[in-house]
Amino acid sequence: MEITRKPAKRKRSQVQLIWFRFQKNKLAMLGLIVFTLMVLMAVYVSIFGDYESAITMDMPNKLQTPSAAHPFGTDQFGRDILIRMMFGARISLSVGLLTMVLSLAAGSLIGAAAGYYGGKVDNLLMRVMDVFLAIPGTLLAISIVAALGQGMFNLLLATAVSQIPAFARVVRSAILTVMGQDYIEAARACGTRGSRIILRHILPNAMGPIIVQATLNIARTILGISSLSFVGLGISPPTPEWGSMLSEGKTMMRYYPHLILIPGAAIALAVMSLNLIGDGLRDALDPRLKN
Amino acid sequence: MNTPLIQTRELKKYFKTPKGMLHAVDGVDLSIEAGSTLGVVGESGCGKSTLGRTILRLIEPTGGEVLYNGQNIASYSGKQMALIHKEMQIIFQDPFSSLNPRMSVRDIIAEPIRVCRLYHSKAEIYRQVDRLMDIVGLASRFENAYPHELDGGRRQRIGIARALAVEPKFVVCDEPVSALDVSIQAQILNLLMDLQDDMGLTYMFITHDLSVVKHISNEIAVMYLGQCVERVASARLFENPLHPYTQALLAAIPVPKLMPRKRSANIIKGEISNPIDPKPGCRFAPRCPLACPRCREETPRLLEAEKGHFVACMQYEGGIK
Amino acid sequence: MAEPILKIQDLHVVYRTDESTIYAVNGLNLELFSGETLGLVGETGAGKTTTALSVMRLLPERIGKVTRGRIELDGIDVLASTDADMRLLRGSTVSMIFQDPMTSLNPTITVGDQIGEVLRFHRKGIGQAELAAGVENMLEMVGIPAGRKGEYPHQFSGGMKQRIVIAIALACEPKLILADEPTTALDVTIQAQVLDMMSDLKEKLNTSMILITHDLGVVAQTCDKVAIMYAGEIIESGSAEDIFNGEKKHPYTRGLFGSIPDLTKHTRRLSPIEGLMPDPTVLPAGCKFHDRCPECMEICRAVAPPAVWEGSHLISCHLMGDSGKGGTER
Repeated sequence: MEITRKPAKRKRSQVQLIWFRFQKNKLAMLGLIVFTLMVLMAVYVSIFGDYESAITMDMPNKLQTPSAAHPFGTDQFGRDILIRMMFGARISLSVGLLTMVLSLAAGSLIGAAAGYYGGKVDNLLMRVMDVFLAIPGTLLAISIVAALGQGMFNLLLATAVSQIPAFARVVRSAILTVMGQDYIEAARACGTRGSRIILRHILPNAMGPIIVQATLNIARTILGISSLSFVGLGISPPTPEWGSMLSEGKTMMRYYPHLILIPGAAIALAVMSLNLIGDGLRDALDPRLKN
Repeated sequence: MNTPLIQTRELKKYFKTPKGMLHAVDGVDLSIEAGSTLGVVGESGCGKSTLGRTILRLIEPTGGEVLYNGQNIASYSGKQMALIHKEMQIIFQDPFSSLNPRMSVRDIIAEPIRVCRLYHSKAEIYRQVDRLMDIVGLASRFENAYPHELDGGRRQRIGIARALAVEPKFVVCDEPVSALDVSIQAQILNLLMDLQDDMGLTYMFITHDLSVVKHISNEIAVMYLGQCVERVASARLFENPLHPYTQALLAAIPVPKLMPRKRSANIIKGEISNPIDPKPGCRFAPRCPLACPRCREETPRLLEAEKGHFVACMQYEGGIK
Repeated sequence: MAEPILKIQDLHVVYRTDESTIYAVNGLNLELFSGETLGLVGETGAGKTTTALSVMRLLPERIGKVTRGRIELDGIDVLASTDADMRLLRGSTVSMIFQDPMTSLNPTITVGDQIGEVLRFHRKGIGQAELAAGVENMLEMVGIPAGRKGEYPHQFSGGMKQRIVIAIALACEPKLILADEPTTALDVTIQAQVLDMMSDLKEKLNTSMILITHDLGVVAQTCDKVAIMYAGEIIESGSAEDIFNGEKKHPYTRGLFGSIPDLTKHTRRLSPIEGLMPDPTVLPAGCKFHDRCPECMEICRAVAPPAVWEGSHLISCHLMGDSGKGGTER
């Protein structure tokens, strides 16, 4: 059987290959598009939006159903829901991102130290993480806020702390996997210092699972913040935040369901799109990298 | 008489396990002359890989000495080792895990040069990389390729280029061709032999494949459960293997020639015993067809049975009969 | 003349991934009779494992496809069978032994139960006592004390795990065994033991076997017939006599023999085959070996070589045909 010559494959770097595989996953791309739209929305409202209109009460206009002037209607204080939604996106996404970065930083340090040094250090650190893991995340966050008082910073801290153990484990396991590879020994064989081994060899290769975890983590954080705000321990009114919007709307949900459906849908969409991206990344990274 | 480049005296490496002390390398004496190749042969669990890494101090020895040019490097400090590193390098078995997947071929080979600061300007470093790629037979068009785009044979060439980048004198080759196809194995073996001739390298060639080691080694050491049981010039080992284990090993190799089947009698029975807290006595005794009660009580020492031929077996205590 | 136990005609298999199509098997013809052992030799990527998986209909689901050809196992058309039919065939008519004993066994089930599973599925209504006896019998046959049937795989060494895998494969006395590099992962002394045991069992049970390997030494020791694969085709085949002692050889076969270090001779350099096997996504025109062949002619670059027979010895090479010396084309 004669098979005609085809042009040789273009050489691709690993990152390009991963992106190529990610693109093939329809659901993951959908998640990416939705999430990008939310980000754009948050950016747009930061530049062009009128924050005052989102928090100033306007009683004569209260509880209006969706119309041309107010595409999502108004809440019980007459505020336009759409604009509160968009500002809510800004808050959820930025707090979510910031919290993730904090817990990623702290978790990575702990996980990296545990993985790289091993032995007693590993044992000690991981057992401390186990203690934190034993406490349900939301409960832990609530306890911290209750102890330190309300406020944006405390909220961030509380949520970040509850997420640290998960990161520490993922980072530790990623580092252990990489350290088992021969190329690390090759680096040690020419006398490479520890810092260079970590920066040049371990981190770039451990990145994959860490990025996946980070993406999934933002979703969890958004949920966490919304939950805290819902019970009144998070962001307090009148700041528009999806969780507190849910909380405010719950008393009237029987007759004005749009008050809770819309912030609820927003939370669901954000979390779902992030999960799809995270799963898509994991699949794109995972088995086929090992030829 | 020149000092051998590498010598080990009673080299030991023990690992602590929950079940006891694992004697991976247990009192090994070796010497390798500059420019020659010592083949270290044995099956899984014999400690040959651990031996190679312990000599390089990639693994810290538990006891004994490693002499490089007469100096005991087993007791060197970190600073002293930093000067020695570029004289001793290693080539790994697995062409997949031995290269950093995030670095291009050029960066992988350049990395040791950068770490050891052999050249400073980028241009000089890259020129050296080009030279090395040429020496190992890698086309320059692969400079910016990534490991996952290349096959096992080419990856192994990258590993060799990386090991040679710092201009070492001694290279430990840890099963460098075991993971490759037969026709590629032959290419890489020829390359290693040519490099040794051109650059005056000294090799410790670790493998489980006796047929491979015959071609490349001047001397062969056979290892069993952490100990060296026989050591002699390469050709002599095949002409006259003395230790029962060596004989069994040679008999077990399937020869690509049609022969009548008379195997069962020669096939060695049993499996290797536990390397954890080994009992005194010859470690091969449980499987040895010639074992006697004395073999189980006394540990045989590596003695010269005929000129240049060392064997650790009770049979040859008074020399060859 | 009895019907062959396995007959493969013009088999073509591809792997279609998102990125490319791999032409793994390109026109394979094979016949195996009862009691024969065929050594299927080739390097990585030659298509040997793919062929075996095709016979078992175990190609990876969405990716592997048989695009042409016919496989007849004990008279049954494998490619036309239903999944249920195939399940009945696997384990009882044909069994496969995979390469890596470390991952072939389920670590959470005792070895006795793993052997028993096969018996229970294929011998419907088998009683407890009969099952236990069958399991113990198999263990003894592969040289493992029957008392160890309650132990788990991790309690055995590599060589013993492979024996257990062989016991599972032979439990229902299949007519054909496909052994995919069964001893490659084992130490050479253990390999000798396992091969010896396999030869004994084969004789006892009169099973046919296809032994996939890259090691010509193993082939010489165990096989009656040999087929050498390159880039998805059989380029030379014949009896063990033809291949090892025959005068004529395909240039690739000659290269394979030349690459193996010979323990009896002392040569300074080995004579490897230059180059690499072709990229299976972009196979060359003409003879697939032409770019590595030291005797490549003009015709080799353009026209696929004919299959030239001399008795039982088949060589697919232009050198053997009209432009070569003798032999008859079929």
